[in-house]
Amino acid sequence: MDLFAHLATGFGVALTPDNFLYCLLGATLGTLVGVLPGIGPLTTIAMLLPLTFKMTPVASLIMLSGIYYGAHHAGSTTAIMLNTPGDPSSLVICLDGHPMARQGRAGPALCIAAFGSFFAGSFGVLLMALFSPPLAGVALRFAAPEYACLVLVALIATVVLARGRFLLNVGMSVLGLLLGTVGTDIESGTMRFTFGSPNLADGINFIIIAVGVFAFAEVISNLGRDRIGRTPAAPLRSLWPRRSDLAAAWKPILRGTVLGSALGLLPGTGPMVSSFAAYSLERQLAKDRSRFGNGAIEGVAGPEAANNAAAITHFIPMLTLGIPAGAAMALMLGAMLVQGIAPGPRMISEHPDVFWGLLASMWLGNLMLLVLNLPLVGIWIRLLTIPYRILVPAILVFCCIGVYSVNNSSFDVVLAAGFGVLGYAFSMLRCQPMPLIVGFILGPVLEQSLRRALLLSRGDLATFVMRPISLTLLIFAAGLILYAALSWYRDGRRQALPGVR
Amino acid sequence: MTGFLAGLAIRDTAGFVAGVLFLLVGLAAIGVSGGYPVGTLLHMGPGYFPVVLGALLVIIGVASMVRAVAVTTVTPDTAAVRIALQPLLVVGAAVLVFAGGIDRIGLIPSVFATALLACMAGPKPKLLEGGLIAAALSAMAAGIFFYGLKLPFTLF
Amino acid sequence: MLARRGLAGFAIAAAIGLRGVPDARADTYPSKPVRLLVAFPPGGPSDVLARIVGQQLNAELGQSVIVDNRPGAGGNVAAEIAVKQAPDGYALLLANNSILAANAFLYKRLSFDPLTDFAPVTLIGRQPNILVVSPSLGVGSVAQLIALAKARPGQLNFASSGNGTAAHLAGELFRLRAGIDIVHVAYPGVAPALTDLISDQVQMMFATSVAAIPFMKGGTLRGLAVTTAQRSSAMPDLPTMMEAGLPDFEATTWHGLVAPARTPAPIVTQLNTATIDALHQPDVARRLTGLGVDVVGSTPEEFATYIKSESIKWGDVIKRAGVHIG
Repeated sequence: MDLFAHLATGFGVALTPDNFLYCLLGATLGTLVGVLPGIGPLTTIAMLLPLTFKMTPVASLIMLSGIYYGAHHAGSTTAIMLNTPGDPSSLVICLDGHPMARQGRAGPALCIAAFGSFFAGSFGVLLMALFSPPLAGVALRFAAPEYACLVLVALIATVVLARGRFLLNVGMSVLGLLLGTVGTDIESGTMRFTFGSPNLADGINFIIIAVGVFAFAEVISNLGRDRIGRTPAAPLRSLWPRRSDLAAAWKPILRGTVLGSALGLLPGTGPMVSSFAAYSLERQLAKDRSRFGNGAIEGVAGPEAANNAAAITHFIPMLTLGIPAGAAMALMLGAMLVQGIAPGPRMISEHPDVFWGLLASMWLGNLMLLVLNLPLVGIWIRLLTIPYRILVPAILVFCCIGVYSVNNSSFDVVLAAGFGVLGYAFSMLRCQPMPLIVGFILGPVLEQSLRRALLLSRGDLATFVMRPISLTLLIFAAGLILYAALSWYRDGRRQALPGVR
Repeated sequence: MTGFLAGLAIRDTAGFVAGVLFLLVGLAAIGVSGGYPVGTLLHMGPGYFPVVLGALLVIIGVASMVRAVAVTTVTPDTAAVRIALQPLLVVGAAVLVFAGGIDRIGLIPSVFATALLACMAGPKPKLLEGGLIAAALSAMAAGIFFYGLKLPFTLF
Repeated sequence: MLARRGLAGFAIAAAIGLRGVPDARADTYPSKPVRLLVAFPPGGPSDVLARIVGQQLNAELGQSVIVDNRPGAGGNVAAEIAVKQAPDGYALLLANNSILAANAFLYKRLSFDPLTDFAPVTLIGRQPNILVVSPSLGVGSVAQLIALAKARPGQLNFASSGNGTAAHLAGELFRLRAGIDIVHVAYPGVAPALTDLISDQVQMMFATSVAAIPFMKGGTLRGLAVTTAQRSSAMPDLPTMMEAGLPDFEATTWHGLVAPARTPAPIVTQLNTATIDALHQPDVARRLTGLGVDVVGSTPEEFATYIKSESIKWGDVIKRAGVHIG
């Protein structure tokens, strides 16, 4: 078998003492830095890039990718413990992970996240080993019409499937889409809603909105509740997941892994879509939907698996096509170029040691993350025993530094404060922030794809239905709307007839 | 007249306020982006998307307001809403102090001031404890971000 | 007077190989860390280049060089910060063709003058662009491409990484010089643009050589010409645009080090020497070549002249093509 020979080469490279150590170092550094709110894989890799210049190409890639998936996974820890996402992909983890922590079930949430991400990571690596070149082609089948339709499906799913009031969810999505238009329009160069400030010329960074709407707003409402007389945090229960947790989580992990692996192959959608899609799927499949948002373990297991599977399969278009998915992958690409390795169609045959060594190290790194994270769970949950009045300044300081370091801009910190106030207002008005964030992230993809598709077809709307993938997606979107209309009609009739409920 | 007004009472305050918010943002968006080239559906200009979104927001805003008035059941938790003014102001101020200080007075004083202010956001602030927490956080921030990650901050 | 003393001090220091004779201000330079402003976010070519050069400058200057990313508005945010810094050599800007030659014409209002507000230090290097087409287009040379575009006016598209970027301006230059009707299609970055070029959604693009060459070797893209004055050593078979029949066609992405205006000449000279020394380190040169940068390392005067000529050329293209941002 060719594969076994390749894997043997790979593990031979990854298990040399030096490379093994770099893998461990990368995964550890990634974990430690990734838990800081607002500091995600991108900042971490950029800061540590010069350290790798003196290493061999394989060693530097092994360490950088260790940082990458380490920081990726660590983002969910912050989301669960502090309700502050470190990067877009761990945002969804806040929804059920943090309520679990508040119920004293942070231990099971963190453990399931660690198991889920290990399983998903291993699956992603296997997929990469078996099918890299054929899967790379998937990225090429998605052009502007397909991306436009895919985003449409995602947006409709958000509005239809999100909890809370339908009308307010639609409003929040549209508000998010509008926020996404801030900045320079790439097609015409027109600056929209920048009010003459160069600080807004490149739009608003996701971290600013996420920290404001989630972290700052959460701190304000917690302190407010304290004044009115908050019930103390639930005492810590068991550290380990119960048998029932595992029983509830394994299927979501499986589904999330498959979904995340698939979406990770599409570089144009960005890192958030896979975890969000997995969350929507789990919520849709659940028997009792009301548990979601109140600490459902499926809402942690599915998205975390999807997130980590996508983090691995993102490497496939990057390594085999040279097409990075997102800024962190672009930086990895830069790191490879600096080392004289050009990713692309011929990379696997030209540098087999790099490809297979990196692949083997990614599996080892994921194993290390599991071994590293399980003991850390005990330390993280001690965070909750710290009195909240001490936690507040720490959260604020780390968030401020995180927001500032995105662009080294104090303007961004002011903006985050504004979004904090806005986020608090939303929570008062019982508007869900999630549709806003989804709209914000997907809005630019939707608008640019829509306009580009129409520009390339010279204004022919048929471009969306003449292509099989985009037609399928459109039919799916129509189905979602029909489904929503039907269930709305059904609920309405049920409410109109008292006694049926 | 009074009977008519009572019939039009706002039963869902939160929904009504959210509706007003959507309406205002929608109108502002249309106003601002109407100044950009709008184009047509098949040849969208930079103004097209924002104008459409603004119009959607206006519709949703009006619909939310109508619904808040027309709804027959009062949502039970509407009455319990109270704005946490002190935490709102103190947290906002703490973040703004960081923003104002970081480029001028450096990392350590900014972190110290922000942390100290944040300690005052709770119900029973203690100055000494706040000072100790702020000092500890300043040292941590300097250690992690300046010495550890070598981010481009000045310490003082 | 001060400048003369500084210059003399520098000469002595250089002669005896010492850096830092106390007394004169310029002689003690650098006595604290130097901040290198980068106009683009971490991970982009400018950032990686800054980190490679910065690390070696650190060794050359004996002071740490801190990379400070201030992305925004096509580099204008960082440039505005740079011109406000004290001209003492402790704040430098890694600038490129956009900041120094194009933005003044692209943006309506610019709060700095790229020609007078900076003291050029050295042109670090150029990244050649390659005119690439999808193989299914069936053209093998620039002449054939122009003929095809003339036969199908308004039907062919050229991709870019956004309005006003080097790839866009090079395409506009091509459109104007060749007298053809091709349509600009903007993408949010080079990667999505190349994806659509490979999958045949768009027909041509001026891509940096480092991005294009792997695809050309793999056969998924066809290179027609390089945009530099000389052929590229990485692709010696590829003609230049000039050889392909477009006189005076040069469109490269270049990166250079500048200091705020009025930085003392001795400090500029010292920085110039240190940067050129850094660029000549085999490790640095190798890494920059990997990034697709042809290392230059000019004198401050040569760099100033180059900025002026580039500014005139792109100002003309931008005005005639009607490109604007803002």
